[in-house]
Amino acid sequence: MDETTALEGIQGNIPVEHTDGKVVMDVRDITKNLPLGREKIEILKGISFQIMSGEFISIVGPSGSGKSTLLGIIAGLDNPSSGQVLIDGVDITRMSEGKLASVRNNKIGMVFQAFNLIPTLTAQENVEVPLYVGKHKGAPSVRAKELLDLVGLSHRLGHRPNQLSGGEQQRVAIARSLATDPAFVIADEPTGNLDAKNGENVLNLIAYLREQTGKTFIIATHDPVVASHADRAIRLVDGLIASIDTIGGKITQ
Amino acid sequence: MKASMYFNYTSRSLLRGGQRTILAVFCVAVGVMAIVSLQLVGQMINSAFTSNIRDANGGDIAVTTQTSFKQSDLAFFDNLKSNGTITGYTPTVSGNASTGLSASITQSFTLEAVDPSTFPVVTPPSFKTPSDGTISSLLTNNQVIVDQNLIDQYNKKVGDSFTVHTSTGTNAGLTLHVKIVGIVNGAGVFAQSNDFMLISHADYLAADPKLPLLYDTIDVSTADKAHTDRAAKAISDQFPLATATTADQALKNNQTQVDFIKKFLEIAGLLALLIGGVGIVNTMQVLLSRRKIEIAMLKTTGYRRIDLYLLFGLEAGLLGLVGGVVGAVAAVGVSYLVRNIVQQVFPILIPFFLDPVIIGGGVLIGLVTALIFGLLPIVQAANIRPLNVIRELPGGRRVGSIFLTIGLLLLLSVMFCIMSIVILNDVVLGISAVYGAFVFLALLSLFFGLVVLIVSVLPVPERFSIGYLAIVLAGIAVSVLLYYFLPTFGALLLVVSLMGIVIVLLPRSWKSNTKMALRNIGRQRARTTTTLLALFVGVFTIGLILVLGQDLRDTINAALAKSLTFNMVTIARGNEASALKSKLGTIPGLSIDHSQYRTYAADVPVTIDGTSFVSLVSKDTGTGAGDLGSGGTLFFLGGLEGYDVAHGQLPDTQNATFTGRNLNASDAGTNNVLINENLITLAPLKGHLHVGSTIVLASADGKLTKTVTVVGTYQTTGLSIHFGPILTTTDTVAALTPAGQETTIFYMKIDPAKVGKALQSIGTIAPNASVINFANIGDFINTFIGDILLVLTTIASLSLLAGVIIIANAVALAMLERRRELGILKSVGYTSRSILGEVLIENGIIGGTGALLAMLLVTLATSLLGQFAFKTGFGVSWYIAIGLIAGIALLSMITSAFVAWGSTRVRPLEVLRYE
Repeated sequence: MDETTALEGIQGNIPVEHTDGKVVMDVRDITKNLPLGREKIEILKGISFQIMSGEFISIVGPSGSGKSTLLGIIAGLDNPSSGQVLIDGVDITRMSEGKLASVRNNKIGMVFQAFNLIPTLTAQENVEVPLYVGKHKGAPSVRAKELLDLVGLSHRLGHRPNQLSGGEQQRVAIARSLATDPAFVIADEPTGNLDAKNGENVLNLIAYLREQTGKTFIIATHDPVVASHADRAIRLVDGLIASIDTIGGKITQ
Repeated sequence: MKASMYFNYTSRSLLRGGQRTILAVFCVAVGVMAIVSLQLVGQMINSAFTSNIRDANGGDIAVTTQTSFKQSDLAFFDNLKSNGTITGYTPTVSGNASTGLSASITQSFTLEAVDPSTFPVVTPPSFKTPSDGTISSLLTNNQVIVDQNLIDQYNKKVGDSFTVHTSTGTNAGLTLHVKIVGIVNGAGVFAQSNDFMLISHADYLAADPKLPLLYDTIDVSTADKAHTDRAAKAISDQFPLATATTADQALKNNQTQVDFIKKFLEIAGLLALLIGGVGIVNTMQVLLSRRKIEIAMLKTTGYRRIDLYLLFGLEAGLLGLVGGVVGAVAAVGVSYLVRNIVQQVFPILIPFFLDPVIIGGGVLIGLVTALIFGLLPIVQAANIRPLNVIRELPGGRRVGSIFLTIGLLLLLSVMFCIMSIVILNDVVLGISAVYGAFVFLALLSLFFGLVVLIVSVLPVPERFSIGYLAIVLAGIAVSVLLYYFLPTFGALLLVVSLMGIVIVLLPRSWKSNTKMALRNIGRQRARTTTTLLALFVGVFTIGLILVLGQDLRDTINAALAKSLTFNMVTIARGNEASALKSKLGTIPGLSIDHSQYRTYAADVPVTIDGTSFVSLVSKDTGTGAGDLGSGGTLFFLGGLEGYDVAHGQLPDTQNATFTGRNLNASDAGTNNVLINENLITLAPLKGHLHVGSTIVLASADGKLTKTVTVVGTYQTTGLSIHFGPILTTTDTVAALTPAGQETTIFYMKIDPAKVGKALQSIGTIAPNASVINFANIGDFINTFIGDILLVLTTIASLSLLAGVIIIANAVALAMLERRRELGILKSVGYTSRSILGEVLIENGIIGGTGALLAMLLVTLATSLLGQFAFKTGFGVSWYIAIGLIAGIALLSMITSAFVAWGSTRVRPLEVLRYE
C-alpha cells in the first residue's frame, strides 16, 4: 500500500479494490522517433508510468498522439528509441527476438482493431495458434473450446473468419488473447471496427473477463465510453502524458 | 501524360522493385538464354554440316561401297576422266587403328590410306604444323599426317615415331611404323573427321605387299553440275552396289538431319521460354500487387485502363529489353559450353561462330515474351477497383474476372503461338507444339488442382482417433498393395502414410506449422498448381532422362554379361594364326573353355538361286522397318565365319535360335551355310531367299567363287557377335580365301585383371594381330550414355531453373500477401524462425508433391517405353526416385528460405498498424 501511496500525484490514485498493489509493468522514459525522409519525427517524447497487477488502464488521446505506438512498445511488438519497459522487473526492450517472442506468448495477449485472425484457420484453430508455441499445459483444442465457450462462441468452433460477423471475429480474437493465460491483455481500439451494439458487447465481454480472470487490461482508445470503463486513463497528447486520471468506475456487467 | 513521365515512372518503379525486378529480368534472361544458345548451337551444327559441302563430301561425288573397289575398278574412273565426264578422282582405304595392340573401342582412331598425288580432289587442307605443309610433300617414307584431336588424345607431337596396328573390313591385321610430320586443321575435307591419321597408299601396302589394295571410297571431282549428274549416273550403273553421293545429295541429307536437331533444340528453348514466361507472370503479379494502393490512387486521379496498360506495358517492355540483352549475352557463353559438350559426346567438329541475327533476335524475343506474358498481370492490375483497395475490401472472384482471365490466357497462347511459329519457321509445328503443350499442361493443371485441394485439407490431429487411424491404415494397405506393382512408389506412399502417424507424435509447434502449411497450400490453389506444374515439367524431364539412361545402362550391361562369353577378339593371319592356336594355353588369364577360334573370309554375293544379286537389291535404299536395304543385305552376306564342325565346333546355341537346322558334324566338307533370318524375312530378299537357296559368293578380290547352300537360318538373341554373318564350315571359308590371306578370329575370355599381360603375350606370339578389347566395353557404353544424359539433362535443367524461379516468386508473392498474418503470429509469440519453419514445410510439401507426381509419370512413361519401344522391362530405381523427390523438396525449401527470410523478420507492429 505504501507503494501505491507513493505513486499518488504522478500516477493518479489507483483504486485498490482491483489490484494486489504489485507493480507488474514499469514504463520508464520511453521515446520513439521515426524517420521521415531526412527528418525525424518524435512520436513519443518520454513516457513513464507504472501498472499494477489486475488494473484496467485506458490509454486515450487524439489521433496521432502516440497511443498505438506506445501500446506496440509495451506489448513487445516494437522497440523504443530509448527508455525501458519492465515486465515483472525484466526489461523487454533489450531482449533477443526469441526471448521477446516468449514474453509475448506467455505474458501478453493482444487484441487488435482489425481483429487480425488468420483467414485460413477456423475459430478454434485461431485460438489454438498461440498454444502451439512455447510450453503450455493441456490440449490446445480443449483450452480453445473453453475460451470460445467463455466468449459465447461454442457454436462457431469450426467457422472460418470470413464466416463470422465483425463482433464474433473480435470475440475470437479476445479468446485467442487469453489462450496462454497471460498476465496482460493489451487491446488497440478493440471496438474501432465494430458498430455501436457489437462494440458495447465487446466492452461488456472485456469487463466480464476482467472480473472473471483478474488480469491486467490495457486498452488504447479515443472513445470516451470505452475509457470510462477503466480504473485509470492515461491521456497522451503530442507524444507526452498530459494526465493520468483515476476513474475508478466500477465496471458493470 | 508526357512521354518522359511514362519513362521516369516505369524506370523508377522497376528500380524500386529491387529483388523482384531482378527476378523478372532473370526469368526473361533464362528463357532468352535458353532459346538463343540452342539456336546458336543449331546454327553452328547447320553450318558445320551444310557449309562448304563439296569439300566436306570429299568431292563433287563421294562413291562408297561395302564390297570394296578393286584396283581394276579404277580403270572405269580413268575412262570417265579421259572422256571428260570427271576432272579427277582419288581412292582411299579406311580402317580402325590403335597405337597399341589392343584396339579397344575407346582407344582407336581412323587410319586413311590415300594417294598423295591425287588426294584430295577438293580444296587442299590447311596445316597447323607445318604451316606450309602439303599432303604430297609430307606423306612419304611412313610419315603420317594427323589432326589435333589425335595429338591431344594420345599425347603425341610432331616428330614422334611409333607403331600403329590397323585392320579394315577386308584386311585384318597390319602393323605400321609411322612418324608424325604434320597436323591438319579440321576444316574443308576434314570438317567432319575426328581422330584420324593419313598415310600414303605406298606405305600402307609396304606393310604387307601380299595384301590386295581394296578401296572403300572414291572421291570424284567434276567440272559442273551437269557433269556431276552424268558421272553419278554412270558410276551407279557401273557399280550398282556402290553409293554415289553428290554434294547436293549430301547437303540434302545433312540438312534433313540438321533441321531435325535444330527443331529439337528450338522446341527445348521454347519450353524454357514458356516456363520463363510463367515466371514473368508471377513476378509481374508480385511487382504490381505491391503497388495496389498506388494503382488505386492513379485511378482515383483519373487514369483510364488504357493509360495503365501503357504504363505497365512500358514497364514489362523495359524488363523484357534488359532481360533480352542479359539473356542474349549469357547465351553466347552457354552456346560455347553446349557446343563443346555436343562436340565431345558426338565425335563431330562444330566450328564456333556467333550469328548476330540470332543474338539480336534474342533481345527481340525477350521484349516480346515480356509483353506477352506481362499482359495477364497488367490487365488484372489495371482492373482493380480503387475503393476496394483503399478500404481494404475483399476483391472477390467475380464471374467477369474469371472470364477475363480465361480470355487473357487464350490471347497469351495465341501470341506465344505466333512467336513460336516465327522462331520455328513452321506453322504446323509451331501450332502443334504450343497447343499440344498447352492442352497437356491444362490437363495436368486440372489434376494438380485436385491434388492441391486434397493436400490442403489433410488432417493434422492432436491425438489419434479411430477415424484418423482408419485413414492411415487404409493408406498403409494401399501402399503395400502398390508395392507389388510399383515397389518404389509403394514404399514412398508407405512413408507418406507412416508420416500420418508421426505427425500426431510431433511437438505442438511442428504440428501447428504443418497444419498452417497445409492450409496455406490450398489458399492460392491456382498459384500452387502453377508452381507444381513448373516443377513437374523440370523434374519429369530430368527424371525421365535419368531413369531411361539408367535402365538402358542396366539392360545393356546385363545383356553384355549374359551374351558376351568373350571379352577380347584377336584377328590373326597365316602363320601368326597358327602360332596363336598352338600357344593359346600360354596366354595369361585366358579361359580355354570359353575361348574359340573360327576362320574368316570377306566375300561379295554374286547370285541367289541363279538371279543376279545386284538386280535383286540395287534399287532398294532400305527405308522403313521391314527393309534391310542394299547396305543391310550386303552386311549380312558380306563375310563368312568358318566352324571346324568335324571336330565338334558348332555355332553357339546359347545366344541364337535356329530355323531349319544348325550346322553339325555331317556338314564337314559340304558347302552348307546358315544365314541371318533377317535376310529371308525382310525386304529386299524376302521371297527370293529361303532355306534351300543356293548363293554364289565371290572372294573380296573377286578372283575366287563358291556356291553355297542355305540349310538354315539363325536369329541372335542379346548381343551375340559374328564377324562373319554367314556361318559355314572352315572348308567353305578356305575356298573363298585368297592365297596367303587365311584369317582366323579368336574369341577369347580373359580374366579382366590379366588383360594387360594377355595383350603382351598375344603381341609376342602374333605381332601383327589385330586385337579388339571388349573388356572395357561396359565402361565405354556407360560413358557414352552418361555423356548423352549430360547434354539432355543440361537442356532439361533450364526448365527446372525456371521452376525454381517460379517457386521464388510464388513465395515472394505469398509473403507479401501474408505480411499481416506474419505480424499476427509474431504478436502471439511466434519467432522469425518458427514462421520460416512453416514456410519451409509448405514449400517442401509443394516441391516433394510435384516431384512425386512427376516421378509417378516417369514410372508410367518408362514402363510403356520399355514395353513398346525397347521391348524390355524398365523400372525406376528407388534411389533416383527418392533422390529426385527429396532433392526437389530440399531445393524448394532452400529457395523459399532465401526469399522468405527477409519477410519473416518483419516487425509485427509495422504490418499490423501500417498495412
